[in-house]
Amino acid sequence: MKTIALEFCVGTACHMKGSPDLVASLETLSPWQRKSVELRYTHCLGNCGAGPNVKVNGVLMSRVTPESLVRTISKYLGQG
Amino acid sequence: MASNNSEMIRIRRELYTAVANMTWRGRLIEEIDDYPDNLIAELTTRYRCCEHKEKAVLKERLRVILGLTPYEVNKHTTLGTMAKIALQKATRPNSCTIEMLAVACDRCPFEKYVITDACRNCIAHHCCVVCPKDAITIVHNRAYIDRNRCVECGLCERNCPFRAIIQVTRPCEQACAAKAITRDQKNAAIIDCETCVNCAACIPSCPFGSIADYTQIAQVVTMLKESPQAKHALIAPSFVGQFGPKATPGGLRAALLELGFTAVHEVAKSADEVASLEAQEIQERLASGADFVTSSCCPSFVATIKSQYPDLVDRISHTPSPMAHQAAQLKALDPQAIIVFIGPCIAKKNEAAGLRTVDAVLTFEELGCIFVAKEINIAAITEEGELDQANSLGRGFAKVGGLSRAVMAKLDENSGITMRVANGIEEAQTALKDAKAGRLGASFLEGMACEGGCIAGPGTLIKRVVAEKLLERYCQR
Repeated sequence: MKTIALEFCVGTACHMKGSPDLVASLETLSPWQRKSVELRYTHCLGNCGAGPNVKVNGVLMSRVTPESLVRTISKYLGQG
Repeated sequence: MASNNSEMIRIRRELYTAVANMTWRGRLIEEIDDYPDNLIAELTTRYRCCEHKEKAVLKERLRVILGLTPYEVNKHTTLGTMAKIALQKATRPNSCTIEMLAVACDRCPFEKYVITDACRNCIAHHCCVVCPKDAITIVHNRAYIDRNRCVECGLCERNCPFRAIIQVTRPCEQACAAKAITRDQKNAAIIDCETCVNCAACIPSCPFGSIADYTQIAQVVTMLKESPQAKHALIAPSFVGQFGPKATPGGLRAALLELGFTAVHEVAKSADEVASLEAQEIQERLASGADFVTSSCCPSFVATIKSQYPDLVDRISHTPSPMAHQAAQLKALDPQAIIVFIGPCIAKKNEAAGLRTVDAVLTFEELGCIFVAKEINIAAITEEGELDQANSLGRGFAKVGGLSRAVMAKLDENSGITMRVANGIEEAQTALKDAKAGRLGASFLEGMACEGGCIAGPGTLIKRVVAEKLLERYCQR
């Protein structure tokens, strides 16, 4: 099974810029998509000015919105 | 927290952080005049008709963030002058807490029933037929409502087979349970300060973001930088989890000390004492003939009684709120001490304005922005331990029903005292109506204006369901 590793920055700057909304947006994934997500929290990804930041399979994404995150995940995992 | 308003929240936090940042650097007065121009240059999206309007709205937002009312400035006052006034202003909060920004209000349609393009100019004309006031005629092949005759009964809306007639209510008016939002002569929305209970339900309701609350961000940052006195941070019970999954209570304490606070207190500690005082007061007042007592810790609930149920004012408990209780204790020990309450609540700003003991109130959101401005990352602090000492009864105050549970625990099993809990302002209205008619059915009424209690307050940073789970876990520690 294909999996996707998500590392959410939950440092104070990213938290204030909306990382809770990003984590909550995972609930909109389909059940099988959710099973394929490996979730981790980190306290800084070193790009505080452009938060919220997420590392997707090791690649840094900045100014992430719930929509862009779900789009990225769906693109990687496929719609199923 | 209304996460579907993410764009408005983003702008608000950006402004909070900028004001805090300029104040930390001691450059607020010098730099704030240029800030709107710099921000607009950076923005890629435009929200208003033109740059001038955009700047005018930003200027008003910044004035409110500086804590200044429209009466303290005129249209020629520059932001730099406002900053000067704000920093010199005594650290007291304003007595009015929420402002409708006149320039930002888009003057939404207020006619309750509107005919849309879906009108087919049919032959039956159910709308005209059912209208009891003959207010509907056909003009240019379409139904037309004469506003002078319409009594807003809604019969036309219900009888149109094409659903061409819709009901429109201004979101702010709909959100306001106290019915404090009306219109001025130019049809801009206005808040009647006397009727407003500061519940802040209107703030996230406005899709234009034209409602804002005064803050003391610049004043608190200045105190932290310059005041030689002891500075106490009083943290409301609902703080659990507010700063993210990696921010521990010990980390929050360390971060507050790093900001410049001298001591950090958990208000839950006082909440437990308040529960004991409340239990004692209920027993005494029932013994002396009172039919019931209401809680006093939610300022919006208390304001609702005062403005809408004046007959019931004498039933409000005299026990101070946990914030007021703890602040009074600390001020008694050190009258020079600076007391800053940090919580989820906007109405607490109003409560504090009526007290002599609380110098400033911040929401969790405002505090978070101050941390960001100072580049303090709570998630990176690996401090173990508690925020302060408190027990689970006091910590439970953060959630609706927690106050009643704590008071019950302080009472004798056979006290015969019964509780009714009003969860949210609408339930509170119902309970107060019942109480007025002598049908409350309980000896104590706990009223919470926010549905869910304080953890669902307007100044919170995480969703209610998440906060509830975390609070439950924290109370079991």
